[in-house]
Amino acid sequence: MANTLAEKVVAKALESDALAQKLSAKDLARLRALLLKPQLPSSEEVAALLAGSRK
Amino acid sequence: MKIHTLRAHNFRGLVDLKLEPNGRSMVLCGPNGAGKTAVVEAIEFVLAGKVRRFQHRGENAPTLQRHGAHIEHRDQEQFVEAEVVLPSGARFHLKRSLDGQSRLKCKPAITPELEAALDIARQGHHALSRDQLLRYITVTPGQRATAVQELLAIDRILELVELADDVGRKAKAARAASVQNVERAQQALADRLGMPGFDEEVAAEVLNIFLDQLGLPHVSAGNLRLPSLAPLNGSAPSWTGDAELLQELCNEDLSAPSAALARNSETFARDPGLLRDLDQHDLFAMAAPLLGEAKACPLCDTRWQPEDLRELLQRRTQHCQQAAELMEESKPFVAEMRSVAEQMQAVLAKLARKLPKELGRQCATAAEAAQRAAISLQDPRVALGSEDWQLDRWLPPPSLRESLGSLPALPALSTARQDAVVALTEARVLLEQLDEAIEQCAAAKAHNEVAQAFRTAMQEARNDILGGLYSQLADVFSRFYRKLHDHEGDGFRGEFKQSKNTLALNVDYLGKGKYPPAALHSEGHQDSMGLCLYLALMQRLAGSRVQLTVLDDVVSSVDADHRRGICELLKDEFEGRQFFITTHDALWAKQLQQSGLVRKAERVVLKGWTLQHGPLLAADGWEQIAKLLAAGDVNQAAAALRYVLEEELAEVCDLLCAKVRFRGNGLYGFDELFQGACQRFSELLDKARAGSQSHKRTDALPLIEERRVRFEAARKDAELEQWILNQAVHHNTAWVATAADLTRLFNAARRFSRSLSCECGVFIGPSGQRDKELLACSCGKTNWPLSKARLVSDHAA
Repeated sequence: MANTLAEKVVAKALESDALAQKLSAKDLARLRALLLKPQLPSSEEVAALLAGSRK
Repeated sequence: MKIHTLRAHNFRGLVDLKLEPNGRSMVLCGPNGAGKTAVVEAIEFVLAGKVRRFQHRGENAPTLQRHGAHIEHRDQEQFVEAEVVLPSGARFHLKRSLDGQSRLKCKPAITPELEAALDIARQGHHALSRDQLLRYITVTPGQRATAVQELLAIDRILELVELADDVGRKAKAARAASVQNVERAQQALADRLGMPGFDEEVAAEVLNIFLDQLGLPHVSAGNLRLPSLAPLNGSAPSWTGDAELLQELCNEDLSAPSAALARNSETFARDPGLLRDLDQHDLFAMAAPLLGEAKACPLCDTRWQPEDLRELLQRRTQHCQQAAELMEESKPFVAEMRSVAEQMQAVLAKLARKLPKELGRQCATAAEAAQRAAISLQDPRVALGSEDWQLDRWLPPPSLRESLGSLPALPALSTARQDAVVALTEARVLLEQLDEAIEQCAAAKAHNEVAQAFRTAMQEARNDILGGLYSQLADVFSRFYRKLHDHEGDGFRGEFKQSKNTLALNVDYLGKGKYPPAALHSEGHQDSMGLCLYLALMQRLAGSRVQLTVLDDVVSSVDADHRRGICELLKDEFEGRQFFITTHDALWAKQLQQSGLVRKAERVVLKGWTLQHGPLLAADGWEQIAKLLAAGDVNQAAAALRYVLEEELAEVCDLLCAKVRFRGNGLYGFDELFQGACQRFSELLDKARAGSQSHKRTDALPLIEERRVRFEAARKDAELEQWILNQAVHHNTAWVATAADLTRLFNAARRFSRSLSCECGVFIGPSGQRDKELLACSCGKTNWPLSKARLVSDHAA
């Protein structure tokens, strides 16, 4: 249940137009995988991914 | 997961309690201190390895390890074991001992399905107790959010949103810091250029004043990149050192090596065979001893006299040796000249780049000649066969040497020019810092935009998904509550409002608006809301994963009518779920049985608790009376019979909504209960007959008639024998009831009780909307209509 809800939230967030305009499909897939890792990623890991991935 | 058997041995107040619910719901009813909660704790212990009451921390806080064992049996083994069955049908035997509480013994080995079920228990989601009810209701929105979110296990979502917040916050801070860095760099440049504040156009104008001083091209507001100041950064021309080095190289005395190379080169030129034989020296040297008395050349078969051939080889070998000696002699001369040629080529190449056009071109030509000489001098054999090494071919011509020797030095800079050089040099450093700050600022801006988009997207997704979830939850919660409180109208509606870390709950109050539950509703209503919210959460969570729910004393402040509603709610909405319910209210336990949620066999009555034996399970009342009669204990049997009859008649009157004279003290006599129950049951049978005739339920009519005959006969017998009970209970000394008298009454009373019951053992009573539709039992075997069929004309009316 928890995973399903978390996956739903992440999937919905990554569908947002604002984010899709700034990140490529490949980067969105990488971000999704990072966010849904069993271990919660650090903000530095996420920031590094966002910083290194622009359209 | 459902529990089929449970055994608690020397655990808490349980000495050796065995229960066999066989996967069905069970109610444990008994007074305070009878051991009900110990059973709940035994379930929690065997499934989760912990007990909630021992979760408090602190030096003197009780612990399961120290206080979990039965106080009289601490030196014996203490354990709880259970047989559980999963939805897949898999059966497991679980056993957990207090001395190894964290280790669960499981046969067969734990599977992922069992692990998931145990995980629910570990999170405490399988149980609700009275003290937990209100944590969903009479708490602050922040505390409610924590409790609800904990139950929904949505902490991962909250962590993700918090993570996105953190990323957004840091990106925003980095962006602000980068803007400050740009402003600081701009201010530093403005300070150096004597400006009150930074303005790009003004900065360009100031820089151009300095550039004018040095005769260098201007910069503009859009491009403040300064031209190179390298030629201005010294008082001596940079070529002076190179020209001096060149002069030194030209002054090197190369006459001796040059003469020796010329001589040897001439020798090789005169005798071209020298170079050829140089390569064949080894061949000749080896061939002479091998030749022997051969009369012909082994290579071309030319006939020779052996002496002549040997002499020829000897002569050629000597020729080779002469060539080798010449080559060896030439090596140091070649090396000396090559070194000078290489240095000269390098310095001429530098001068060619630095000097004005014509002079530079001449240096370039001379550098090429020196390079050719250096190449030819890399190998003595090449040098001796070439002319490139000859001095007149690569030494710079005297005119060039003269020009280089008289190169002018730059004039010394004026003070104003020197100031301009210093200002521009410092400005260049500051401009580079500004460029770097602007670049970092642009990167931070771009990163911040992505981070904020990510943050907003996560927040919106959370609000959307959880908003939908809370909306569904509110629907279910409201429906459950309406089901319990239907007489309060259908308008009840609860609403959740979530903000970042809070979850506000407002509920309808009699159609007068929405208020927090604790504002206007009674404690009993709040308990109902807590239970409904918990059940709504469980239903939302459960799917098929949660099959076991423990309700520990959750209706203590809910009145009897609403408890009946809870029975219906649990039965209708949670089909297939196993409930373990504890209560000190015997009536509710019976209502649970009456509703069909719990069977008679699973209604466990605890009549007390002793240190020696633990909970005392009450035997079935009728069986107990039978045993007393068999033992000849007439007085005890009479008292027990009166107790059982009054208890059952009270239950029947409540079920049938019988008319009994109201008593303020709540104590009703046997006679008035008996008469009230009989009168009402008789009326209901009449209505059932009329209803069945109206609905053409021909199958029901003979059953109703048979029931009436049985009921009337039992009623008459019970009435006739009642005096025995009164005499026995009131210890009438004039007449002493015998065992035979009381047995007659016992049999009549039992027949009367059965005449009011279904085959399944449960009393039949009115049910359906407002209890006016059916005379029925929860098992469905007794099912007779009470209302008459409506005619078409009725509908039209």
